[in-house]
Amino acid sequence: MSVLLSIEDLHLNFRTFWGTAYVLDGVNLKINRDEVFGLVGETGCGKSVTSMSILRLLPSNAELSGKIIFEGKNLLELSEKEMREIRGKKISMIFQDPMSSLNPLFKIKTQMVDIIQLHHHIDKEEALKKAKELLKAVNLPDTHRILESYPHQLSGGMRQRIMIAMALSFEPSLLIADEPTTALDVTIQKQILNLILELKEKYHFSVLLITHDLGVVAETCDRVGVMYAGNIVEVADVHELFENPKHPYTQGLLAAIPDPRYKKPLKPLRGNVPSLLNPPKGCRFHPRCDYAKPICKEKKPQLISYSENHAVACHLFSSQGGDIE
Amino acid sequence: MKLWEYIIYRLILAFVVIFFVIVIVFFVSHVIPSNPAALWAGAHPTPEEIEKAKEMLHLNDPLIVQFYYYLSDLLHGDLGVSIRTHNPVLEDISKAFTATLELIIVAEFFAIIVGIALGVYSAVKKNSWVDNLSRLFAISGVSLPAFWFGMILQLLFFKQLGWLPLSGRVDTVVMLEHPLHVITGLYIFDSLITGNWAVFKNAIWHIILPAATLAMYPVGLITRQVRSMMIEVLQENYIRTARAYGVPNWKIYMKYALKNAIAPALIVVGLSLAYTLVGAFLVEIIFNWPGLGRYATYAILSMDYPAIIGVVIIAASAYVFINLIVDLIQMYLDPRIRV
Repeated sequence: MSVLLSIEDLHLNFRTFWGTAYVLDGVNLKINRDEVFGLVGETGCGKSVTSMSILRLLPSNAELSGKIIFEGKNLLELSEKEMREIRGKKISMIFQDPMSSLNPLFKIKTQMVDIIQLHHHIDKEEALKKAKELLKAVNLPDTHRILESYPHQLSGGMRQRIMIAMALSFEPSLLIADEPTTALDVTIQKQILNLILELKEKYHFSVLLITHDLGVVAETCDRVGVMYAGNIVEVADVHELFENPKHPYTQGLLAAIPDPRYKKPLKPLRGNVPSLLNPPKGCRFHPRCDYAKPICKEKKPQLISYSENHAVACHLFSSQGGDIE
Repeated sequence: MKLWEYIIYRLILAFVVIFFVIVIVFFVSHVIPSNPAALWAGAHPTPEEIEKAKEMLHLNDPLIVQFYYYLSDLLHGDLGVSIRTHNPVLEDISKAFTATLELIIVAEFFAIIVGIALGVYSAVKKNSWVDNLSRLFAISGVSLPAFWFGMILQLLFFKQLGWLPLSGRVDTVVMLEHPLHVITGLYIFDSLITGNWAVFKNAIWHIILPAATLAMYPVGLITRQVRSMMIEVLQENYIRTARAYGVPNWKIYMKYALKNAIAPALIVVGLSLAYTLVGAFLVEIIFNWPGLGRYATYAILSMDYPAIIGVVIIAASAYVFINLIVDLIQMYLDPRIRV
């Protein structure tokens, strides 16, 4: 399997009125071709900004350092113009809230044709034909009505399908789906996820699926990364992660899922997510960790491979498990 | 409700509003203690002449009967005869109105173009020196009184620099040498389509200062409104979507964001149009512009009540219809508020 995207030691700080927020603290991540990679974590752990960093869509008070290698190019070194050739064409993105992600004052037709014409140099007529094909590909057969509609005339599920259709305009090699189903109801969620998987088989792209829903991860992903307060704390194949979680945070997350088979009480994670303006020294999880050792307060643990398809960033395993990568 | 039904409904409402305006203005202006009959009869009238004038102007009838006469004349398109000029008020007003209309069109056109450009630019380059300068400009435009600003412009561009004429609409000499074939009454437009370049140039020359004075307030208002709407819109998710698909920035600003920002800013454009109608009163006096404002001022000073009522009716109708048009444009722009 070849690597499509590799993020190396990505640091992201936001200069704010209250001080500097250390949002990403050395994120390392690899996404292979043709795989669905899930990125999970609590709200505010840095999942979405990681994806926005890939497309360089961060606000102007962001300071980004590290490397994001995509198809051999470091995206952080590209000019804004070169970056526009990547956005939408090589890397596409769909967003959490389909209700507000389409412009309310323009017909679907205008929005789709504009984006199709952006990279394909074709006339309006052909762009419209392409738009119709794309809508059919996302199971919206009533193409004429949809193209003539404004966003507020369509349901949330339909709008998310349109977003997906727009994302596929140029056969991207990576689709970033930032909580694509969070704003939708459960039956529509299932349909949208299945659609993404179906299209992935058909068009052969990789998916970076960002979610806080472990159920979604279990159903759709090949590999999973768990994020906590700006760090990737564990990466593993999806079965391995659910069967054999290593990091205390991952274990905590899994223990907090209700399981109808056992009538045991849920075990919530104690404490709160730390402030990123003043994050804990050493391992950022140590104030909430039941197994914290003195070293955890001093030294930040590196992500090391525990087994062939399993890596974890925790001092508990740095001495026992595999060698440093 | 269909669109045309809505328009008819709004038109009916507009006529109701205008009717009440007529009622109020008519009765209020008749409460003012003045002697129109004496004015009508001219200098040093005899008591018989005054009595004759009273009879002719129906001043001996009860007020409600006078109102009936006024309304029935109005329905025949007759606003009465001006006591001061002895011309039909409608004739006077339509002549003055086109002069004011020309001034307002030029001022508002300038205000919309400059306001939108400055607003968009200062929203995109928030807190840059251009933004700060445009803020200063906008605040001065809104807060400096028009009569003061107009006089400063006259001092600078007429007295000091000698670039532009002091006042008036067009030089009489130019009009005599190059007679203008009047079609719409808008000199710039008429001279342009009849190819009368001397008058065209002269009219443009004359309109710059009064139009700039009149535009100051709307420019400030529109700039600030467009700026704050743009800043809000640029943070919307659909703008992020456009960025994520690689849409170039200029297209995001000028197409996707501007349309969203313009719809609410239009209300301010409508209000500022109404302001320019009022502002024209001052500006026309300062620049001796033969428009509605100057006509109304003289009418008020000489208690010429048919003229006063006429001006108020025209101004109120303009106000009501501007608002109707603004609402219709908004419906056109924003599909979510279409009926």
